[in-house]
Amino acid sequence: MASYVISPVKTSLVILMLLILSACGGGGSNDNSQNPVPPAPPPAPPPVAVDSSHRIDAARLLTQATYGPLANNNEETAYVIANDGHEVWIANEVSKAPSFHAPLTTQALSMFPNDEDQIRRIHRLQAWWHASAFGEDQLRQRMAFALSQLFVVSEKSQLGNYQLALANYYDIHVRNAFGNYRDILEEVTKSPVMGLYLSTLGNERPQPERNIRPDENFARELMQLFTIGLVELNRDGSVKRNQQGEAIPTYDQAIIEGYAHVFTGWNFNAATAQTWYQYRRNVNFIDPMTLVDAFHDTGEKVLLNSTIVPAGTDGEIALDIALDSLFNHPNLPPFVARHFIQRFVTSNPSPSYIERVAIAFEDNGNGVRGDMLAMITAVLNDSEARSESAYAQTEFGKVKEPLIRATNIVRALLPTAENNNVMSFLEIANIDYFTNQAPLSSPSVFNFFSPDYQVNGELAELGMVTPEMQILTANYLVRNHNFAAFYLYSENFRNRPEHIFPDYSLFAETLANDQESLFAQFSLLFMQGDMDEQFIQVLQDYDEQVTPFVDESARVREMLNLMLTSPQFAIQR
Amino acid sequence: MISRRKFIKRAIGSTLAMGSYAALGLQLSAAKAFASQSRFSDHKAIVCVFLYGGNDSFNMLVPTDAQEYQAYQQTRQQLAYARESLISLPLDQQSNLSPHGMPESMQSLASIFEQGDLSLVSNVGPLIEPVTKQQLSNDPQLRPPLLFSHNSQQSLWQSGQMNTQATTGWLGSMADLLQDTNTTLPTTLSISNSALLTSGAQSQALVLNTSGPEEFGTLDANNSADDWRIAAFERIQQLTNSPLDREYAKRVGLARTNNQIVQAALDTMPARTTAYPTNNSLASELKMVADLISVQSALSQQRQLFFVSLGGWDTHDAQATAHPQLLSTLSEALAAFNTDINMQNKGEQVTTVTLSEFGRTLTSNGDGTDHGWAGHQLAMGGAVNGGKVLGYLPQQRLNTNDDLGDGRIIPSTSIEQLGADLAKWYGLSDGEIAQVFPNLNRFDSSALQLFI
Repeated sequence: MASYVISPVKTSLVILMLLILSACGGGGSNDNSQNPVPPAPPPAPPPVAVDSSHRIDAARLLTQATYGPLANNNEETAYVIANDGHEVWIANEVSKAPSFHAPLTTQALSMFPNDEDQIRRIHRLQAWWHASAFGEDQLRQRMAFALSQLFVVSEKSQLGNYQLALANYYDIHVRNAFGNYRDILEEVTKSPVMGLYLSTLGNERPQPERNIRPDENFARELMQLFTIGLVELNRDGSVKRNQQGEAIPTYDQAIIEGYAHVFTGWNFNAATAQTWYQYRRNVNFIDPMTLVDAFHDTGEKVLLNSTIVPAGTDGEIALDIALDSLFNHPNLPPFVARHFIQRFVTSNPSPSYIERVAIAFEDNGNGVRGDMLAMITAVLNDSEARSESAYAQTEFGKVKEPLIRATNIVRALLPTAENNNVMSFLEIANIDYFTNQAPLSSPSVFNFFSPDYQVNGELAELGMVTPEMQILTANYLVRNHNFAAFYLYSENFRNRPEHIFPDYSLFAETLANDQESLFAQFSLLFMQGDMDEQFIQVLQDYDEQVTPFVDESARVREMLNLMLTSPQFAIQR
Repeated sequence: MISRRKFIKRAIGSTLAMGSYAALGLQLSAAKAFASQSRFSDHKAIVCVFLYGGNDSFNMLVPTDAQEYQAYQQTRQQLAYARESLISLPLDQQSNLSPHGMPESMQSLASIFEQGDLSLVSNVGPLIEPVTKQQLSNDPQLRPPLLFSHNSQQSLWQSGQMNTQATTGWLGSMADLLQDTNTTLPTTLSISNSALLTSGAQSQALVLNTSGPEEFGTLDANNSADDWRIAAFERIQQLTNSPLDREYAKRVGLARTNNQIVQAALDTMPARTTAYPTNNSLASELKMVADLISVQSALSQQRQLFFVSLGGWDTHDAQATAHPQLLSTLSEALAAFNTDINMQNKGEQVTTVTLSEFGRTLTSNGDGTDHGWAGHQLAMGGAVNGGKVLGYLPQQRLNTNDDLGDGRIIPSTSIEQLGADLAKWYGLSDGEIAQVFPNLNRFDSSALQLFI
């Protein structure tokens, strides 16, 4: 990995060049001799000096939109924010080369071979760590992770035996992170991984004489969990009520059956009517499923909003009609908006925040529905995500996902340039031991936690939900806590070259020179700039106690352990 | 690599030489002898086993009489259990029942049924009120909300309140009524997850691993090297200034205290000899339950509530291979637990029930079933009215008066009836039971006869 530092100067130069080029008259049919000399381009504005408000904003943005701030990327992020704005930061993220998980997984096998030459879970998780910890395309990786929690498949199923297929599935989300929702919907529907997980693979048209009707699994979860949810929503995410004040279900059993009948006839790529049942012959978890007409139901289907698929419609066309009916449903924008706001910014967005993001999803400004880049820009750029006043609201913020808390720790302590020959994350690959969470490893299609999970007590009184608390049960609270020490103190890490290890040597240098400066750095790195004097006092007092006995490196490690096990680090605001 | 636990114990402390001993600020709070649920002098425990995904439980009890079996096979097609493989159950006491058997994968449970310590609670499911097929077709409002949706039906089963948005469960509500304010240790202990069933308005279950409570690696009160760190840690826990921080810190504090209480009790546990099946996650969970029951006195718990679970029951696919394996896992785990509890001479004091969000369709989708409504549950324990099929037993045929459609069967026993019988045996008053199950008065609370 190259320790890639964007020079603050470069960005401005680019913009300066663009200004110059756009200010020049074009060529074309005009006779140059008749044109007046174009005015000199305006001088570039002097760069805006970065101040603490930018640094704090950068700290918050990096915490919200990446797998964690790096020890040294706050300043450059703050510079971009101050001079170019958040949209440019996002645009930079979009332009970075995607880190795909399937090739990384295969690479991991060559580094950690086994007798059977089989890709196992350890390889997929190594690949995930590589992309998430080292990937330049941080926002894209976070988007993919958030998408994998919407279009859920899990290795806790037959898919556990197909780890490369799972990595390949994850890459649908990496690839389409800034694309269009409709494309994601279609790739997921045709994915053999999803096909196996929710039983579309091999789903057959009905045989009434044998009491066989199509499998409803995918139809049900597609609607409930991937697109529109169970009840009708207003655009601001609030539940619509009928005259009796009751919620209005979005669909009934008959509608489910309509969709279930659409999703018939699909099997592994290039399966035929003759080979339909020959699993071993057909098995192919990489290429999209294809349709076999003979097993597709040809009856009429009634879908949402009285959409009809006429009898005899080709299966591919029927699929399109079905997916379009979900894509165009008014529930989809608020449903998607709330999901992404909860994964990135806050568990309890205001209705107007949801609505603003829903609007961006409905129309990206160019008449396009489903633009994921427009949607996530709306999420990250909204005043509720960025402004001081919103940040000060009691209800703002979220418990960090335990897995992301772990990546925060690893990224903040990534080896510096000379030490970054890291190839292995072996010691932390099975991270769910500590975090109760691992990519594509949820207990069911209902993801790791419910978006509505509420803890009784103060939070319930405030009307706040905290999804992530659902997996922070007593045993995992302790294990999450223990991960910090495990990572910081383990001698195992240090003795193995090419393996990830925590590098806090630069912090130790800072501490040797100036303790206050170290605290300022910690504040931005771990607490979004919010470390107050009382917290600093605790660190100072503790440091004073241990200083006579250990060197700077150990002092830093002790303070890191305290920081990384604090409630303040567990919460993101 | 070395186990993570051992590693943490070794690596810490050796890096920090200590020159002084700080006073230990830890409170080992309520490990002292406050009796919880002090109105009870005896001990009882309820163990809830949640089968996630929706068990095709009608397939746990199969008619063996020739004509009925043929009808069953016609309905179930390739998902019918082979007649000759069924284990016949002694149902002579119930003259209105034709012969039935359990699939051979449930062999261990069939034995317990024969011994009179297991019953099948028939055709249970969420109901707004008792209802017939005709009434349902006349008035769709009589259907529980969001039928056939996993999480919604889990909410109905676990809340006992006919509310898919409920934030408390009936086990949690029972715990609220029994919680002794002198201890932080909850009445409800989960070896699985923080399910709604275990959430009360005041109490939350303590979630433990199958290996027992977790220890904080760097906060060991017995390791003087940790003293300063513990003190700094505790100061930081006090610096919270937002509801999220506060809740997080509160949970960490509770985890610390409760884990210590449990560990201290488990440290006094006498050895037991019951062998549990290996590679069986439910068995591992139930073993920890049995451990906690064995130290009930050291925990000062006269009343205990346990939650364990087993997933994988959503057999849309490959049911013919998957379902017998699940039944076998379930049966062997329950049987080992039953043996263990009996060896502790606590057979009369412990009742175990299965719960599942729905039964499944009697029709198939080719190689599996889809989401149904009513299903059978199992009740096990010395006090249970055992060796019986309790409640009305529908036939496994289509288009009967029990069949809502496509083989989704209408329940005849409600969750409230099952829960209320448990609560009454457990020692709650009628008034308390009505609080836990607000809709109980719509049903005949004496109909089920779960306990003798």
